[in-house]
This record gives sequence, structure tokens and C-alpha cells, in this order.
Amino acid sequence: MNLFDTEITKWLNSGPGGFGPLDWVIKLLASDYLFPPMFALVIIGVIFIGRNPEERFRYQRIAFKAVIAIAMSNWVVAIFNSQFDRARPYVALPDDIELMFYPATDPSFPANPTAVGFAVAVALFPVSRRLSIGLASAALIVGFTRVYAGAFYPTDVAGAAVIGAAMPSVAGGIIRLFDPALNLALRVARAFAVA
Amino acid sequence: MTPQDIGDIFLRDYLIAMYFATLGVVQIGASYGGITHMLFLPSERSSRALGMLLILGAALFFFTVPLWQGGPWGAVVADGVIGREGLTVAWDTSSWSDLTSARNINDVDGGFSGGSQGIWFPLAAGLALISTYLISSVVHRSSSRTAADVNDNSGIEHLKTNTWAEVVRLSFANWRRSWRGEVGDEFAPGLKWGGVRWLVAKVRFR
Repeated sequence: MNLFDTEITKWLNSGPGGFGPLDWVIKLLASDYLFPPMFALVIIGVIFIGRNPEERFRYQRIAFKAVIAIAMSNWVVAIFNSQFDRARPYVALPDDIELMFYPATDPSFPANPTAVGFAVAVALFPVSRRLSIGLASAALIVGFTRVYAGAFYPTDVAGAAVIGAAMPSVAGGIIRLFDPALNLALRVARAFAVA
Repeated sequence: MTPQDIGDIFLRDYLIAMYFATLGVVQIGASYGGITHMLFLPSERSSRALGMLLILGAALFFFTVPLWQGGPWGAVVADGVIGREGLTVAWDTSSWSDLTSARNINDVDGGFSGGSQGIWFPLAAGLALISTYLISSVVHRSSSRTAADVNDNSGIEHLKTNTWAEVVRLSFANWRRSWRGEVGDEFAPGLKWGGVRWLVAKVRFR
């Protein structure tokens, strides 16, 4: 598995320096400030898209679930980081990998932005299947570009996708546990005409 | 220049970008939800276009600032500060060829960690939401078809016919009258947390 991972990473990373415009775009898509904030922005949009009070209430609960799923993803990624200190490709393979990203100091597994993206994508599936697929695609693009850039292995991305996709179920359980409190918070927000 | 200085530049640009991007997202969301008195423009279609422009403009602003603002993204790899892609570069403006890597700075060198984004994003988004309610109230101040009539707690549903400024006081007054019932609905006996209802019944609203 490790050999497969390494070979795929080396093959993908053989691109940098070959075609400048592609590298230029890859660096943009891999940014911490493009897709990750977009995931959060989509959640804000979902708060308002319901056409009637019932639908809006349902979507706002889903938005809240997505936020909890993000928090849970970050938490699970941090746990994995503390337990599996997997060296980044540019550290483990310094002669083969050309880093096109900043030299991150945290462990490679799992890929945090992909986990967050999948958490939001799966959480928002009941709102719109197309939106969900778009978000999952964006999460995969971030993962792919970071493998290309030498910052992650493919299995870091795949593992993160599994973790992220599982978190909305956990978030759903937490919401059920505190259901009356969440509903009451939304009622208070409605009293101020902001929800 | 220290990571703190770099962080300050990042913070300013990030807050501006996320503020305007959130304004745009809310315009798009409210247009799909038919919440017309939250929109800045008369039609839903034009509001979606404005929303897209605000989002794209915010991204364009954030990623092109290094072209005119000096920072740890100079083209010359030389003695200076640890900046883009972990390189030691001169404090200078970015070149076009390095533009997309200019913002790729590690958090220990002044970039933003996920935790920092988790703090500053809600701040920018919250300010944008408040701005939306205020701006839309000004834009629609004379366009409400009927006087605000708030007898239920349906929140922004009222913004389909009236502005937030017209609705908020009446909505909160309605809440003051009905809050015990609203709370009781969520904590009724037999439901989870039913004991809270007993507590609420003991409390007298002052």
C-alpha cells in the first residue's frame, strides 16, 4: 500500500515545472483560502434558501449539523495526527518530490481540507444533491492538487474523505441529543428576525 | 518583519474578503428563498448576479493584493523573511508568475491556521449579516406593501413583505408575549428535557 501510495505521489508530482500555467492554477486551487472558506460560505447560504418557514427551519438545522460535522472532522483529524505521525511526501522523499506548497509541519494523514469538504458535502446532501456533488468534487480537487504539490499522499485524501463523510452521522446524533436546545436557539433567533 | 506583521496583513485582507463574500452568499441565498426585503436589488435574478460579483470580487481582491501590497511574497529569493512556500524572500510585491503561491504561507510564518479561520470567519460573516439587515432596511424603507403585522414567531419569513427594521421590534414584542409557550413547546412533559418545562413554569417574566 505504501509503495502504491509513494509511486502515485511521485508520478503526480512529476508534473511541477513541466507546464507553468498548470502549476500556477494548481497552487491557487490548493490554497487554504479558496475552497475551505467556500465550504463555510455555502453553509451560510443554506440558512436562507428555504422557500417557506418549515423548509427554512429544516435547512437551518442541516446547516447547524454541517457546522458540527466540520468541528468533529477537525477533532478526528487532530486525533489521527497525534496517533500516526506520517511524514509528508516532501519530507519522506526529498529527492523525488518537488514541494509546490508551504512546508507544513503537521503529519500527512489525514488531509484536513478534504475531510472538512466531505463533511459539508454529505451534511448538505438533503438540501441539494447537485450542491453536495459539487462540494465533494471541490474537496477532491483540493486533495488532488495537494498530492500534485507534494503535500499529501493519495491515501491521506482517501482517508480524509471517509472521515469527513462519516462525521454528519455523528453530528446528527449530537443534534438529536440536544434537539430542544437547538430548536429553542432557532426560535430565539426568529424572535430577532434573523433566522 | 515578523510573523505577527504578516499575520496582521493576512487578517485585514481575510476579513475584507470574507465580509464581501458573505454579503454575496446571503444575496444569493435570500433570492432563492424569496426573502425580497433582504435583497439589495429589485429582482431576484439581479440579486444573484450581484451575489456572484461580490463573491468573485472578494476572491479576486484577496488573491491579487500581493500584486500591489508589499509582503512576504517577493519574487527575489534572498535574505528577508520566510514567506510564500516557505522560501526566504524579499519583502516586496508579487510577480504575476508567483501570484497564486503568494498566499501559501504556513501558519507558523504568519499565515492562518484552520483554528484562526474558525475564529475570524464567523466574525466577518456576522458583520456581513448585520450589514445585510441594515442595508436592506434602508434600500426597502419605502417599498413595504403593508404595515408590519407580527403575530407569530416566523422570523425572516416576515422579511418577504417588510424590512428587518420594521419587523424586529414587533417580532421581539411578540416573543415577550409568547416566550413561555415557545419554550414549553420544546420542553413539554414526555419529550426529552421535560423537566426544564417545570422550571420555566416556576420562573416569572419580569
